Amino acid sequence: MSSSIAGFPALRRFAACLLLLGGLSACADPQGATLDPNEQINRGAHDFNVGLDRNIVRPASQIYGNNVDPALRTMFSNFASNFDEPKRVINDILQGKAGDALNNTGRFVINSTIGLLGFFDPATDFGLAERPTDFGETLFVWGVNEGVYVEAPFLGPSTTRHAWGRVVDIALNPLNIFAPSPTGEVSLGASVFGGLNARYEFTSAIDGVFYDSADSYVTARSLYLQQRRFELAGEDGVEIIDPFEELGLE
Amino acid sequence: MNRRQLLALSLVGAASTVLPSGAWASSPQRAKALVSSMVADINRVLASNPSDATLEREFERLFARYADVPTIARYTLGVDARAASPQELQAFTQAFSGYMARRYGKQFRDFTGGDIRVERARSVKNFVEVRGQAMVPGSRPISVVFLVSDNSGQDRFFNLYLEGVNLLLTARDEIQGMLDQRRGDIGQLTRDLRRLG
Repeated sequence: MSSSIAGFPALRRFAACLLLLGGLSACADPQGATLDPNEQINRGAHDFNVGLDRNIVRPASQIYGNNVDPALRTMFSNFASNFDEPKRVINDILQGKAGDALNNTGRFVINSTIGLLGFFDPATDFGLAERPTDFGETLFVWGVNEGVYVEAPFLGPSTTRHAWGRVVDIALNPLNIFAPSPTGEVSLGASVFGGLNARYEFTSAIDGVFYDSADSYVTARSLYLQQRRFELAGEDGVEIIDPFEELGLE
Repeated sequence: MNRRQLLALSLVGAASTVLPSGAWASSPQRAKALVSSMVADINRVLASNPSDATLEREFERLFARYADVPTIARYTLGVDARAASPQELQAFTQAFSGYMARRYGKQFRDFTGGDIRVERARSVKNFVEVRGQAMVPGSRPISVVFLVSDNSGQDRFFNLYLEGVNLLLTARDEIQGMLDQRRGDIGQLTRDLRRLG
């Protein structure tokens, strides 16, 4: 599925670096490391996000989840998620992934029509499962490096590359409203209802990070970086650990 | 992140209690069988419709029984473990285990109705890697990897990966952060861990 633009990696990378010059300190980063030179600023944003969750997002999600039927909540999430499909198709094309572009185009067409404006998801039943992507992934495919860790108010955990990707994604889908989950925005639906629904359905997992973890900032950062690297690079993004060797136990 | 990843996140803790002991995992075939009986163990606990407190208690009991807790705990301390006395390490390991139970016990529930479909098992270095998919109602399959070793004298798992998130690294990042705040004082960390979570 890699395409014609895949032929000139150096050129693409150079172009990508130029494009993002000034914002991204990209174009060189060690794999597997945690680069967080702005930790103090990030911690300020994190405290804000936790307060936002405690006072607004979590209570609102509980009211929503406890009062609205699950089937109805799924419909609202589907509806919001459907608006993300054009953004995904554009990114699939920019990444040179024809199969994904066709898959997500098919989803948008089927769910917008047979799925009654996207409230239902018959596309999945037809074998066209959701294949999320974003402009941060496009930058990854183009060879832009991860940059440093960033936690921003409202947006939650990110990296320089992912944060710039979000700027573009918001432009591609103005419906995007970000609920600060501990590991990045809840893109499941990427809307108020989608975000609240996800916050409700994963109450214990998210509470675990925000309120049961001894240092929720460090935990959110660790989980975000691990998941994002796996999402983008698959097995290559996963750190191999041999504790016995490291501890001198063998 | 998407729904599947959120679920994976909540299962990192849940699944980390579960490899049964009593058999050798040093062969891929047996490691596979271990994971299968592990699923039965999880579902047995969940079938009793347990309270949060019960889940936390069960979690700590199973964690002690099936995971290589001393290795995991020691790994989270990093280089600071070398300066610690055996007594300090033991006290830390105990506090760590309790903290993990309070931190993850409740999330066990997210596996209700779930199953793990084992795909393959193979020897890597001197341990066994078991790969599979966690099937949980309402979610797409979640990639799962267990690493099993008999280094402790018995078969225990010392790490697991869910959608790329692994227990050892997550726990180490968390413990290292706390240790830094306490200027490397393992005794203080142990005392604080007993009431955290």
